Parts: sequence; C-alpha cells; structure tokens
Amino acid sequence: MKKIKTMERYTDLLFILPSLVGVSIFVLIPFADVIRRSFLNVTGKSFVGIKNYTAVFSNRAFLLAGENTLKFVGICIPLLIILSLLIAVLLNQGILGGHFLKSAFLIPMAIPVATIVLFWRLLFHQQGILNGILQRLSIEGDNWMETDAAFVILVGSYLWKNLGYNIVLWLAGLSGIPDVLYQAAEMDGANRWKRFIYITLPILKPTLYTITTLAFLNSFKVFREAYLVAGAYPHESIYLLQHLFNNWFRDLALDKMSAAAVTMVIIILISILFLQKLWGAEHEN
Amino acid sequence: MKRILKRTIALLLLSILIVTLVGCKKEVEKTNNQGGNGAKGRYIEEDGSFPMDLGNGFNIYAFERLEDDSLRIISSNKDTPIEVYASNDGGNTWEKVSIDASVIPEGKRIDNAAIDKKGNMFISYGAPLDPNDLSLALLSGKILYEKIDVDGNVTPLEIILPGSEESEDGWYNTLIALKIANNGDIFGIDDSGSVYQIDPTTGKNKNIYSSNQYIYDYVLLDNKLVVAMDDGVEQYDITTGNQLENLEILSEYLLSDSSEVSLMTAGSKENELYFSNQKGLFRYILGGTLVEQMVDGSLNSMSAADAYMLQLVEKPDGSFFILYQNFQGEFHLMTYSYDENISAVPDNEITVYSLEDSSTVRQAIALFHKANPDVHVIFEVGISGDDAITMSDALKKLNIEIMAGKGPDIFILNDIRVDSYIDKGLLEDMSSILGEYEEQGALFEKITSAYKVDGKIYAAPIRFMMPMINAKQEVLNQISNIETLTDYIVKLKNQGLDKGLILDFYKTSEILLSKLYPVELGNCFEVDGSVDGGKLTNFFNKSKEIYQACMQFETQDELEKHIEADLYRFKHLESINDRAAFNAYQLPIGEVQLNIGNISSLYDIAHLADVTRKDDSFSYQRLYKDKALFIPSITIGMSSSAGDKETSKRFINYLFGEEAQSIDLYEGLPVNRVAFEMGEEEKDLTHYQGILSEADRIIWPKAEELHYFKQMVEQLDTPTFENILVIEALLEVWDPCLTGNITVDEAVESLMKKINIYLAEQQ
Repeated sequence: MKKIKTMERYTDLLFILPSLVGVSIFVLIPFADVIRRSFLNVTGKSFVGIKNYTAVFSNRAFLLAGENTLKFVGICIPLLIILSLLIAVLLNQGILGGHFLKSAFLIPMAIPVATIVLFWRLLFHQQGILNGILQRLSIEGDNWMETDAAFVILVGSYLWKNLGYNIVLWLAGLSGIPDVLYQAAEMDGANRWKRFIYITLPILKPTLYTITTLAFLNSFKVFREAYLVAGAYPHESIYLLQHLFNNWFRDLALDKMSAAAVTMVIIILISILFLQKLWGAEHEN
Repeated sequence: MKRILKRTIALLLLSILIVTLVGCKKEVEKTNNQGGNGAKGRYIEEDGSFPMDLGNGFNIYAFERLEDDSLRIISSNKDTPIEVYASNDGGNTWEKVSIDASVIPEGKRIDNAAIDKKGNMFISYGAPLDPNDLSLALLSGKILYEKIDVDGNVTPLEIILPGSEESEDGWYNTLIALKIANNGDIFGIDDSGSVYQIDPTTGKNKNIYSSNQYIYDYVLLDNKLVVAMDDGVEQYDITTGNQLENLEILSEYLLSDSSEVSLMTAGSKENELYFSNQKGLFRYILGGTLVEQMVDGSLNSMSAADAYMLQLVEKPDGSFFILYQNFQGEFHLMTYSYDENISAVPDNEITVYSLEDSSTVRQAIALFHKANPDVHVIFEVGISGDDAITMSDALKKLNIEIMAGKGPDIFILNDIRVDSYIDKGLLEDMSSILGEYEEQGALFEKITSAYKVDGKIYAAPIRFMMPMINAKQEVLNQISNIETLTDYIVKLKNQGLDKGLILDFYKTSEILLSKLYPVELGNCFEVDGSVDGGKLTNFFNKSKEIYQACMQFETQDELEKHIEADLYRFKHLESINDRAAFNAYQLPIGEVQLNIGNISSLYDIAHLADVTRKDDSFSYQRLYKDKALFIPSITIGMSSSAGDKETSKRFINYLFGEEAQSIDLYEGLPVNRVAFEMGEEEKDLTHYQGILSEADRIIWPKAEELHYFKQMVEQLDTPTFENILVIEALLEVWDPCLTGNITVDEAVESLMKKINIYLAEQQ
C-alpha cells in the first residue's frame, strides 16, 4: 500500500514536471538572480548588503508609487468585486435583456488596449469630447489627465475593462448553487436578502478567493493604459510602481529595481497567502 | 523501481539546471575578429583623383567607358565652357580631347551631357540666371540641345517637351540625367519625372516612360531600359516602348532593405547591371534570383554623409570608379579594386552606439575606414526614425544589451545621462587618449574636460555649439541675462517697429524655447540637483513676456504667411538646434532686430561675420556674455567593458584628431584647436550659396574674424543643461503656458511635479 502511494507521488511529480521546468526557467531562476542582484551594486560586482533596500524604502518616488498602487488596489478590488457580484446576481435571476447585458459587459475585454487608449485621449484631452460636452453645458473643462481626476479615470477604466470577466466568474459560481437550497429557504420564510446572505455568499466564498486573486494580479496590468496615455511621468496620482520600474530600467538602476521587485513580490505573496489562509479556514469550517 | 525513478527525476532536474545556467552564462568573449575564418579578398577603396588640372571651379557632367575600354569625361570650369578628357590606361593618365569651345555659344553654360560607347556626345546648355556669372548653378530661359560626333561636328537638336518652349513663371521643362542608348537614341528625365526616349535625328519623342514616383536613376542595357523608382524597379523594351516583366527580386531586395539606388550602370556582360548606394555596390543580372553585394559601403566613402554619388563606371580590369561631389561642391573620384590578399572582413570590429543618427559620426567612420582598412566600425543607431521606437524603448534595449555583455564599445552620449553612466561604472577613463592632445595644446581643454570627475575623463564632447546673439552693438551692450533681454524686447514693443520682427520667430513658441532653454534651464537647478521653483517661474514669466511682445507686431495675415516657415524650422524636438546663421542676413535689412541662435559650423560664423563686415554697427556675442556656456552637441564615452579596447581607443583618438575634427556638417564646432584654425584657410562658398548674386554673396570669414570668435570659444567652460526627459516635460507645458491656455503657476507646478518625481527616482 505504501509502495503504491509513493508511486502515485512520483507520478504526480512527473505530471507537473513540464510546467515546473517552464516556470523554473522563465520565473524562478531569473527571480533568484533578482534576489542575488538586490544585494549587489549596479554592476553586480560588489556586495552591498541591505543598502539597496534602505535606498528603496527612503526613495520618495518608490513611496509615492507604492502609496498610489496600494490606494488603487484598495479602491478597485472591493469596488470590482461588489459591483460584479451585484450584476452577476441580477443577471442570474434572469432579468430582461440579461443575455444582451452579459455580452455587453464582455465587450471591453475584446477591445485592444491601443483602441482604449486612443478613445481615452479623445475623451479626456483638453480639447476632447468630455470638455466639449461640458462646454455646451456651460461648465468649465480641464486637462483631466493632469489633475487629480486622472486617478478616478484610471479606476473607472479598470472597472469598465474587468467587470465583464469577473461577472462571468461569479456567474460560474452562482450556477453551481442548487435551486433546492433557495426553494427550501423560501419555504422556511427567508426573504431575498436572507437567501443572499445565508446561501449565496457562503457558497461563493471559494469563488471570492479566485476572483480576488485574479483581480489583484490584473490590477497591475492597468499600467499599460496609464503609460500609453500619460507616458513615463503621468500626473502624480497615477504614478504607479510599474512606472517606477519602467523608469529605473530605462536608467539602468538595476540595484534599486531588484530590491524593489523583491519587496513587491514579498508583499504580493503575503497577500495571496493571507487570502488563501482566510479561504482555507472558511473552507474547513 | 523507486531508485530508478528518483535518479531519473534527479537527472532531469540537473539537466534543466545545467541548460539554464549555460543559457544565463555571460558571454565572455566578444566577437571582434570576424575575418578570423581565413576568408580572403574584398574591394578596397583608394583615392583615384584625376591627375590633370581640371581648372578653377570645375564641374563634371559625364563619365563613360567606351567600347574600346578607354574612359572619357566631359567637364567645364570657370574659364572654359566645355572640355573633354580621355584615358586609355584605366584612368592613370588623361589627355585632353580637342573640342571647339564654341560648341557652347557665348554667354551660355553647359547643363547636362552624355557620351555614347563610340565617343559621340550629347549636351544641353542654357543661359545662367546672372549673365555676368557663368558659375551660377541655376539657368534661366529655354534649354538647348546638340549632338557632337567624334569628329567634332555639331548638330543642334530641337527637343520639345511639355513646358519647354514657353514660361510665365521663368520655369522651362528640361531633360536631365542624359544617356545615349546603343542604338543612338537619347534618353533623359524631365522635370515631371518621366523618362523620354528621343530620336537622335529628328529630336522627336519616340517613347515616354511615365511614372508618378521619384526616379533615382535609370540604365540602358542593349534594348532594355531599367528604371529605379521609389517603390521598385521597372524594365521596358526601348524598341517597342512596352513594359517588360517586373524585376521583383531586385525590387524586393531594395524595398526590404530600405535602400535607395544612387547610381546604376551597365556591366560588360549581357543583362548585367551594377548599382550603388550608401550600403555598397551591388551586381544584378536581369531576371536573376540573386543580388550580389560587391562592396560593403559601411567600410568606405559610400556611407559618408557629406557626399552624393554622381557617376559609377566599371573599369576594364573589373574595378570601379565612383565620382562623388560633397556639400561644398568639391569632386572626389574613388576607385574600388579587388584585393585578394586582404581579409574578407576587417580583422577588428567595434560598435559605436548613438540614440540618434549623426552625419558627423558617419563621416568620421567613413574616413577612419579609409585610413584603417583592418578595422570595421559598426554604427548602431537606437532611434532610426523608420519605426515607432521611442527613446525610452531604445534605452531599454541598450540596457539589455549592456547587461547581456553585448553592449557597444563606444557610446555617443547625447540624450544619455552621462553622470548616471559614470556612477554605474559603465564608462572608461579616456584621460590617456586626450592627454596626448592636451600636452600639445591641441584641444579646447575647458570644453573637453567638461565631464572630468576626480581627474578622470569618462566622457568628452567632440563637437559643441555656442548660443549667440547677433544685433547692433549698442543693443548687445544692454543684454546680459533673461531680465535685460526681456526688458529690451518689451521696450522695443512699446516703441513700435516700422517693419519686421523683434526676434526671428513668428508664432511657434517652441522656437523661442529652442533659443532660451540651453542658457536658462541649467540656471533653474540647484547644485544638489533640486529644482528652484522661483527661478523656473521667472523663466516662464520672462519667456511669456518675450513671446507676447514679439507677437504684438504680427497681423493675422502675416502670421498665416510665415507660420509655415516656423514649422519648417521646428518640426519636433530633433530640430531644436536653431542656427544663428538662418536669419543673420535679416538684421541689416531691418527684418529682425535680434538674431538669437546657435553657432554650429564655421559656415555659421561666416554669416555672422558677414553682417558685421557689411555694417560694423552690428556685432555678435555669447547670448549671455557673463556665462561661458556651450552646448555639447556630440559627446562620446568609451565602454568600460569594450570588447576591443585598443581599437576603440584608436577610433576615439581619431575622433579628436585633425582629420575627423575638420568635418563640418553643422552638428557643432571642432574641439580640436588645430582643426578650428585650419578653418582660417579660405573656402569657396560659391556652390554652398547657390543662387545668390555676387553682391549678396557671403565670403569665408577672415583670419581675424575667426580669431575673434576663437577667443570667445577659449572661454567656454560650462556645458548647458541637457536632459531630454526634463526638456520633454518642459515642452508639454510650454506652448499651453505661453499661449495662455494655462497660467505660469499651473505650468510650473505641473512641470515641477514631474521633475521632482524624476529626481526622486534618481536618489
């Protein structure tokens, strides 16, 4: 019996080996080199201890970018999760035009980033569509991407682009909830709200973990749009960690970039492990 | 079983590790000896200048190899309207062929010429724009044609083209690039870009080969006409006038390589043609599937930036002649002969990297190759302009190459942060190279030492520009900084002008920026690198005052009229070098009151000196006379990990030498004092000035004028602020601020936020 178990373990290992090889070559080993470089000077020739880390943590650009990134993630992810869940629940209840709405929410995913960026520029430029509309309403416009409104625009754009994907994920979770549960609860006198709180939400918790993790990772991709619209130095409210990494790479500041990358990976890893733990504990309960 | 499995897995993981480590292994040895495979033989360029004296201000119109393998040229000079020379020994010796000078009527000048395989000639001529000056490039009136046979008999030929007989605006259609086919038909391209086939007896058009594209050149191969155009190569049958099948292989080759054809000539074999361009000399057989590169242009004058190819001739021994004419109108004849004993590829290879192209560097490389046939210098340009690569993309690509150990040997550091590269240990100390020159006192040391750190020279300008102001001496006395400049301009505005402009720009605010930022931007940064908001605000305020004062004199109609001129001068940031020479001539006629711009060539000095010579109330000085600022227009540095340091040092040494420093392509003045003083030798500016009449001609500056300028150069010791990211951020808010779309405070706030983030990144 023990022999069979051991054999199974090795068989499992063989199955994951191709993937492990790819991940090792393209992620793990390069990242090990990044960790090594984070303790070396820029030329990679001399050991500098934690100097790069202290430089990064005292770097105003890093602190600003980190703060903006955290703020962005902290606002976007709850908003995205709540909005997409609400819409998914409504769609799942078979509201009128549900099929059309499902497609409509998915369309932003099919639009290339270049198109989105072009539209974004047309919309929010000083002489753009939005200011044109405001002018007709006798409201003074602004160069929106150079004001604090840039952050709101970035959040809006992220929600618009990712809402459909998250709705689909929620819908997949919702479709797995047996109708009998709702029927039984209804017979017991539970109203819609109580059914949502006591049946839907608890069953969707595993989906919540997946959605949160994916949303968290996807939130870093919003840099593409911000970079293409406003360049390497956008308004300070949308100056994200990826801007900083991009600019450090351009300036060959590999020492600081390595230390910052390691820091960022640690933060992301802790966040994901925390979510996993949270989900795991709930799952066991 | 368990053991086997364990071992298999261990082996697999070990293999992965080995493969990965090998893949990541730094390339230790850089390939710098491509000729090491032992292959021998390549074409070598040699100076093949004509041994005879072709006369003062000569010009060459035709150069041909005849069927008896002799060579023949048609030329003219200031004293003789036409001369013909022949060589029977492959160009070593030349004899003048007797020809009656009256074949060109008095008061006329030869325009174009062709020679057929037997030695018969066909020429066109006309009257110069200025009847008193036969050397002027442009002709006026109708162009006439005549045939001159080998015995010297002249037969006029009436050729009628659309627009060749009458003109309302002084333009007459004419044939250029004349050639004679084997059947005697005459060919030429008219002003509309069509190739005409002319009957040599009647002068009537036999066939017209029209295209709507630019024609680079054409060649006649027996009964075929091959035309190289913008989007490919076409061939025609000249007996029928019909188009033959497209030369797709040749067209695709040229289009895929973004190459243009400079010249084409027929080879000695059937259907064989040769063509040349900056990339080299190529051979192609019509209908063939292969384009053969005979000569690599990057190793010789073909890639030089300061010359056009005029004639390509295959010599009887299989070598080639190429006749060049440089921007100053001087002719150079080069021969390309096959040397079977020399390595197929030069033994040593180095790479020079620059974010943007540089004619000066290209020209220096071409000259260096000529003097050093054992070295191949590859010039790698980060932003070619042919694609959508941005500066940031190019820098990132460069960084990847550097980190992979495949970086260039020499950097052109324009738009690259010199201090950052020095801090990161990427640059080698060049003190030993520059030291030799400094010992001889050959360099403007204050300029070449601009980037000296702890006694070491990691980067040094090889060219520099100087921000200048050109105006009446009494005005210059009043101007020493942006405050006094603004005060004077505002005073002029309040007084009112009878005509013209205060400053030589019309509306485009960026032109004003190009004049002011080199001297002002550095002032806005503190010693610790932080931005001084007060000084930045002052810069914006004063610039806005200047802009508004200068705009006050323009009516909308005048603005519309001149705005295109502005846009031509300032298309984008690349043309931010605003040359003081552009508008110097407008000062004495009162079209502008102040001429501000950069001196980037000895030719520019000629313009400024000319104004003072004609009216000594005008003078010129550094824009802010209290600041000894210069713009490092080409700055070089040697990579600390250069693969071939000795060859790299040889090339850098050459760049500071007299020959390379004597190149003058408007990209900056030489830092070599000797090369600067060599400029005191008078140069003929006839060709350079084109159509100016004798009275308006600018002559080369006199020795004392150059000496006066040199004294100013000797004092220059501070490089201007050059950070492309800051300048780009400044450009974003500059026009909105000056035109009133945003306030000065908003502009400064926005700019400072971006600069502060940038500066914070560098901490």
